[in-house]
Amino acid sequence: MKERFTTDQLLDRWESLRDIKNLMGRVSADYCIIEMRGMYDKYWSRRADVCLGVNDGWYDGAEAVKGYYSSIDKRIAYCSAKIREMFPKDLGDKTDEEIYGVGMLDYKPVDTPVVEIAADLQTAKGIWCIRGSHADFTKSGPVAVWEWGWFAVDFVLEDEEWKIWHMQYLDEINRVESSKWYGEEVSYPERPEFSWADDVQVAVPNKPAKLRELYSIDRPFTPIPAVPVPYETFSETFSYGL
Amino acid sequence: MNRNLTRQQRIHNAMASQKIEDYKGRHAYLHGIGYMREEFDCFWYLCDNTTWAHQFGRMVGKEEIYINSVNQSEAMMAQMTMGAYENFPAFAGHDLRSTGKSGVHALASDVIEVAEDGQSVRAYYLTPGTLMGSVGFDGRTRGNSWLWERYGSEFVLVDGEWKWFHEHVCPDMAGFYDIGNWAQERYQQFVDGTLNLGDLGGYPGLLTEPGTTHNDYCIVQAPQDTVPPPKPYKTLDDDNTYSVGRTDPTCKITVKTAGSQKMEWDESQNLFDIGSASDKADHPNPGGPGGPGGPGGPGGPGGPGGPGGPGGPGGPGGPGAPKK
Amino acid sequence: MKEEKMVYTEDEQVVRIWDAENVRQAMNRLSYYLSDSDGRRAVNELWVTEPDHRRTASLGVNTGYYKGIGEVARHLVLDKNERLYENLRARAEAEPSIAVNNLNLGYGCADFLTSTTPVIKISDDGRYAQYMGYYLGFTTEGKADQTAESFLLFGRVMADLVKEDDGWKIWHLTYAHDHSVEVASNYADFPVKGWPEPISDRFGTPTEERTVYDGFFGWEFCATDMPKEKYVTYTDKQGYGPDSDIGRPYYER
Repeated sequence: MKERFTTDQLLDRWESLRDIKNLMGRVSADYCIIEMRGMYDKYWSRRADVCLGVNDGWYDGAEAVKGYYSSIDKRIAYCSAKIREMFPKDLGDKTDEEIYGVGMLDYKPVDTPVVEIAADLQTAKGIWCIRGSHADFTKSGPVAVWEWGWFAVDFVLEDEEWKIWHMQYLDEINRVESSKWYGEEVSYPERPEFSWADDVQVAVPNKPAKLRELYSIDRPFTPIPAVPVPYETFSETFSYGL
Repeated sequence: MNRNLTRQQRIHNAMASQKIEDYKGRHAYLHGIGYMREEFDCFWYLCDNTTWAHQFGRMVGKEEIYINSVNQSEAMMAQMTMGAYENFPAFAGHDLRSTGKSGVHALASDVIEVAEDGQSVRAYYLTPGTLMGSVGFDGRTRGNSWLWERYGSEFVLVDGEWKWFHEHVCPDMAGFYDIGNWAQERYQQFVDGTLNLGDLGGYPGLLTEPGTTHNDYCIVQAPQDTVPPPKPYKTLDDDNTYSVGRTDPTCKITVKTAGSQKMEWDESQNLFDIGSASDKADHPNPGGPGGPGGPGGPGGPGGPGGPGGPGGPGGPGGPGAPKK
Repeated sequence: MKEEKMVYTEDEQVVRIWDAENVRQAMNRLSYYLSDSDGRRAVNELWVTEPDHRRTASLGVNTGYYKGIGEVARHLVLDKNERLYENLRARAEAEPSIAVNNLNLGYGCADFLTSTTPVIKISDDGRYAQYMGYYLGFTTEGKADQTAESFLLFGRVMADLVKEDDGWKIWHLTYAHDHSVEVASNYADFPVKGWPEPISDRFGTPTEERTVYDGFFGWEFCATDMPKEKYVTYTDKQGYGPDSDIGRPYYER
């Protein structure tokens, strides 16, 4: 194989690879401890043209992406306060911060990385599989959901740190656990103590679009998100953004 | 990543990072098949400051870890294989530890940092693990369990070789493929007063530091950052470790303790060794896979309950330790 | 007695560091391409290109080996294609609005394969690599009766790779499939013995039929199947192809 990078460049590139994998590991770890509120500041680029794509559209621009995480924060805080009201014996003397995320768990393990770092070492692209499980608060109480999907991410180097520039967070399967993958999902009786479950919602995309239909038996074949290929500089490759 | 290191240091650290990935992978398979000696004899550094923590507390030191994680674990795996002989006589004559096993704590979400001094590595992983096998814990039905946990691992350089030094396992939830709904069931059990927490970690017969280190999921459990992913760090010390007080591989600096205590556990709520998994579909049991019964290695596939007694590990607490 | 370890220059060490990453990425790409039902891309981009390697390439499944690149492609491309058309024809029979053509191939179907828990060794001579990983995934097919046949999939994957001019290429690949769990069913309810593996028809008709892996005995030989610490260069016996020791007890190796 003809080498095109010097040894020191290869070391730079390996360290970048490790940093990027660590970044996504930290994102995953933060989901686990319900710390989505800090994700924008910690992991995202300061660029104005950041964007986050989900199945039903884009959060286009810094304000929209910040707003997405901020809305998640609001929902978490609201639900936590409600859980505290429901269980005063266990939680009544706890502060808002101490109960933040109570009763919530969100595993988004990421694996199978394919990461390509631009030859100019200014950007990178990566795709990861998500095989997750999390508990949604619904009017039936906490309900566990199986989640299979991908993070497909463009990264940019800022102040010698890798940051998320564009991200697609796409689900293929998002079904209540023990549901078949056709027909109605398993449902549970409503519980009056969870009548508040839909009071606060996560912000919807500011650019609605169907980025991906969830799997269904009537869905035409839908390719997986594009897998990164080696590239020289960002203008010469595809974008995971708008 | 500190790029002000020399080229030699950077190569050393890159190779260290990959070595740890290799160990974590090998461990996952060896653990799944009960080949504990092949792990602990080959790539662990067993000294007075070596620790292995799970929900039940922290095992400390070579003898305690080896007796629990190797001797008793392997015995349990062999018992599990032999326990299947009655229903599956074809197992006889096959490897006592590994036959019928095909589950693994699959690895994901890795965060690996090598110390600037090049003497230690810290790693965080999530494991959406499967405890599956052609035959499960009951010796007669298919193994269909799953157990999702977090890992905080530390490694040190000893005589030029990387060795495993500390491990802390934090189980969050468990269940069976592909039935049930852990969130609904645990909520109902909590409301009914039947939810048993703290049974996902096994029951070691000897323990230096008993006490619940991490709670599994429950409606009143706030998120626990028990094993935060490592940040870039200079050296393994009490500000950068999963095992405070025991970061010195020479063991000159350590934590004074009362030593190994013989433990007695109530294993009656072990999710994975009571009846068959089919029974559990109708009567979901609270708690989780207790790992091997009686004195045994924590984590891994559970086995037939060993001798247990009253007074199990800490009961269901309220919210766990606040996030760091 | 401790084995003599090979030594390397700094330049070589960095090449080897990247060799391990590139092997990992090649195997991860395989999962994505197969998830995309794009066996052709997998064969074209990821498999060996040199004539001798193509002649001796192999793909192992539980029930045998596909031997030679043509046979590998027959299974990964043709078999998959035929299956998708079969499913499409059945759907179209029940719903005539669904046309049977290449544009509708994969209608109501999805695959998802992952590569986790890798153990990777680069040979001392830097020309070969071994990989063992674990996949958790699923396959799902919508059916004419408006249901879906959906299975969670679990198993190991083992591979020999060889470093050719344009990178690391898969040479021998063996899937040791363990479990197919029907979605929303209790896996423990299925008999341990006497229950046919639900996706066994997808193993196809290997060139050489034999038992490569029997899931009943599980990972009995997993420890010896793992890539060895000592890996000077490729040998058939230590490899993962048809002439290897996969699945053999230690006393037969």
